[in-house]
Amino acid sequence: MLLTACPVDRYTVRPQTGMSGKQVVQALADAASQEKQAGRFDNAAGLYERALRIEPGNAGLWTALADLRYDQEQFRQVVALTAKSNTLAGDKQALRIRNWRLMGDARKELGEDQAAKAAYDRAEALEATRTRRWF
Amino acid sequence: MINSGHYTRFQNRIWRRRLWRYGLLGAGLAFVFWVIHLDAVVREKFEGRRWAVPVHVYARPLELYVGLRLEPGRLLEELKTLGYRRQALAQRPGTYQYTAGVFIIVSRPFRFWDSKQASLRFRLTIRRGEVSVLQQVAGSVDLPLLRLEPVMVGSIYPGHHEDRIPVKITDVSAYLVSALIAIEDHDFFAHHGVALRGLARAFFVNLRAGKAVQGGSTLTQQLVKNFYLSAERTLRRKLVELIMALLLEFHYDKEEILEAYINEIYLGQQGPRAIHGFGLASQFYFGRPLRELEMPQLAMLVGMIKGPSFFNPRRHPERATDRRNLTLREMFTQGFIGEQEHRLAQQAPLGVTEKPLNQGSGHSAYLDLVHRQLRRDYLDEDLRSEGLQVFTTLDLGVQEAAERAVESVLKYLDPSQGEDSGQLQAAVVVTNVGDGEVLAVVGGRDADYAGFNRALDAQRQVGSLIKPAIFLTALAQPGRYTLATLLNDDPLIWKSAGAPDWSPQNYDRKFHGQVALYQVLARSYNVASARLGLELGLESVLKTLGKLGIERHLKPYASTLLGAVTLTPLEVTRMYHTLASGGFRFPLRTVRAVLTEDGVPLKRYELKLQQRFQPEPVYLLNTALQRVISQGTGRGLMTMMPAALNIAGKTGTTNDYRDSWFAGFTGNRLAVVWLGRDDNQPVGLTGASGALRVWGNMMRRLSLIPLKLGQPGQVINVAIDLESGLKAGAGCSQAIELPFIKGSAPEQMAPCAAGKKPVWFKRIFGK
Repeated sequence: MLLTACPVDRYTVRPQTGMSGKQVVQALADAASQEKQAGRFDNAAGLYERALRIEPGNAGLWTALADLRYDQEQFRQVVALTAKSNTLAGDKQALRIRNWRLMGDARKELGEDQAAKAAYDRAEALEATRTRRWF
Repeated sequence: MINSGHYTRFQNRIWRRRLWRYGLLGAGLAFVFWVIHLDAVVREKFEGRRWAVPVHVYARPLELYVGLRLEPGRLLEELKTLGYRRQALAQRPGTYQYTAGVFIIVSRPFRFWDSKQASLRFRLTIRRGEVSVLQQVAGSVDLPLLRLEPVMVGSIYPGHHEDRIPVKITDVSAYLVSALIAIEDHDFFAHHGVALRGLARAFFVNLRAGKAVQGGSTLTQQLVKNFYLSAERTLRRKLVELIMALLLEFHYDKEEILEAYINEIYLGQQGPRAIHGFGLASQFYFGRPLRELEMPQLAMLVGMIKGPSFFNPRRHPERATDRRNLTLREMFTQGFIGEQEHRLAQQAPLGVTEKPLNQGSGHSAYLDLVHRQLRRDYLDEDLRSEGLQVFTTLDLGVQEAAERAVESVLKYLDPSQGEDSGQLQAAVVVTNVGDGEVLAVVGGRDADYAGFNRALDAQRQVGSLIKPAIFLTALAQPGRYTLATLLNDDPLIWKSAGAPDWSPQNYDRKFHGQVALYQVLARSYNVASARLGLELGLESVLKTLGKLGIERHLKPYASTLLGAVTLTPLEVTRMYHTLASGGFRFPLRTVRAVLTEDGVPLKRYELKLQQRFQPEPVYLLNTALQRVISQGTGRGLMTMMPAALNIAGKTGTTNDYRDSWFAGFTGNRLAVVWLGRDDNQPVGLTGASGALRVWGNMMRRLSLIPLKLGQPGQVINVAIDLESGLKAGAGCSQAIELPFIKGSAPEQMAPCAAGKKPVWFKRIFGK
């Protein structure tokens, strides 16, 4: 279940500061996304870090960085970053689901199958509540 | 028949001739080999790495964007430190205009670790402490964000303390070259390294004086002298100099030689640091890059070559002015500048800065930490010679706030007279909560003194600062402990084999019976804390300390629970940073990236983290640490800081008031402050009466974000009766709402629950 191909930045990085801060964080996230597409991972990471310095409480940014680390095969970092994002995600269910799935993917890569399953289960459970709400 | 006497004489003559011939041949050959050797020396050094360039260390760049909280004064300070000049109309890089909150700045081009940023003329407006407009002046295009180039804050020097910023000849003003030609070597572009006329003149002058008094050297000879040879003045050395100068000119063109000269020449001294080359001299005397200097300033620097100390413009402005004007006159006489240009230049002020910018050794404690972190990845030799560019996380605004707070509060706390006067010392470490970047380090009361770095090396008892580790260990077991659990604060005697009995005391010398866990921490009760720690087991508390970031081995003694262990302020910072970041451990970083001398990225130190604790117990602990400030031992802070910041923190005091600690954090800044004496004598301060004041004084100067602890989904709030520790009901008069991990809140109703609804109940439940 690889989510890394999805254009994560567009919908997960939602700036939380005022109008102006939004533009800055969005601009940095967009630039990071472009750098990532171009394979310049270091630059992309640097741009996400700059955005996080401006808005450390933006859960979506942490997920975007986790996504990048997945591409860089830094799976331990993916686990930590998605966990960090979850602590900030509040009631953003979609983001939480995404974090658990990404964490599951990383755990799997690390050969931690049980932990991976636990993460996927968390994602499924959240998905189920969401679906129930829809109906 | 040949006369034997004749024959012998004849033979001798032949032999003498042969001897002469061979001798001459031998000497000629030796000379040739010597010249070949000199040639090799000349080429090897000129073509290899010419100088051991020190590592240059930069502070973090100021990142500008709309919405950034920034006071005009701070930006003005940053511009001043960067050597920007205020002008009526800013048009050249390194200049700015400012009127009532509106800046027009022409930034300098700069190569950051990730990209190059061109010079830009932009408008920046600050309204009510916040950047409200950021746009390029041309076309009024809005800019999302922009970085000012970082301030160079220091260097890590090669062994011989030569410092320089190499420049390329193509970047050098024609005025600099013409001034050099005019005053130092008229025929530079015509001769082959040696000017015979000058040499002859020097020869006769020296002959008359009976000693070497005049050089008559060309720029090439001066370069040879400085670059290859020692300072001795002998005939042999002069001969070597001549040959090497000729060889240098034979192999290399004039531009290359001039470039080497411009970078080599000695132009001043700052303590052990030798200022070499015009690139660094420009920063050193004018606080600006060489390309921004005007003609009279270049003339002043060129004039100084003759005697950088004698013509030092800061110490001897008149001499420097006279010498500059002589250079200007020569430039005029030789047709390099016109009459009016000459006249105006002679009237221009020297324009040197009061003291060298960027070299306030106040950053020495911070640089010390940078150096130690770099030494893990680089050989010391490379750090001293490879000309690396190191981009750090140092925030000059925070550093200045920390230094000022230490200075002003210690002036007030320290006895002004007597033998104890001036003995009180301090250390401060400040980090960015979001990513573990170290923003400032103060290593002692005198920030200019690059001696003992207390922030990194002072190992001091930490007292109650260690207690959060006990409470976190407890709160991670929600089945056993919650914030409402009543702890026993009655007398405790701990017996352990082979050690004297241990009976801890409270600070107020009283015992308090049954006290809720969060209050024990807020009020820093020693006895209840120690009993809790012993209940949990020393090993598990030490394990928590390890997970928090304390890497050194701590002995499992009961007294460890009350902080009878020594840690450095940096270690304490590491521990509290893990709490401030919600249980995630971020390696504390001072370096963002390292570039080679040519700006090629070498290494990036990226943001890394590790989850060390589940978020729920850390959340509970942090709410308790907030109560330390709102109602506990740290409440003195409430008179200094707005309550809305929701600061979390902990005071620490050691036996006989030897150490005064405070560690605390807001939403964006964490700081640890220690006060004490180097000889470990009592200072008569508690954490609250000493370190906390420095902390508050410093934080008041910073742009802070309130601490908003994100409540984890597994945590709920429940009203609790303080007396019984049970669930409060309408009739309880002493109730408080506390967070609990789901399933851990008491379900049993307190005895008071059945009574009349008090005011607090209505406030919480609105019924």
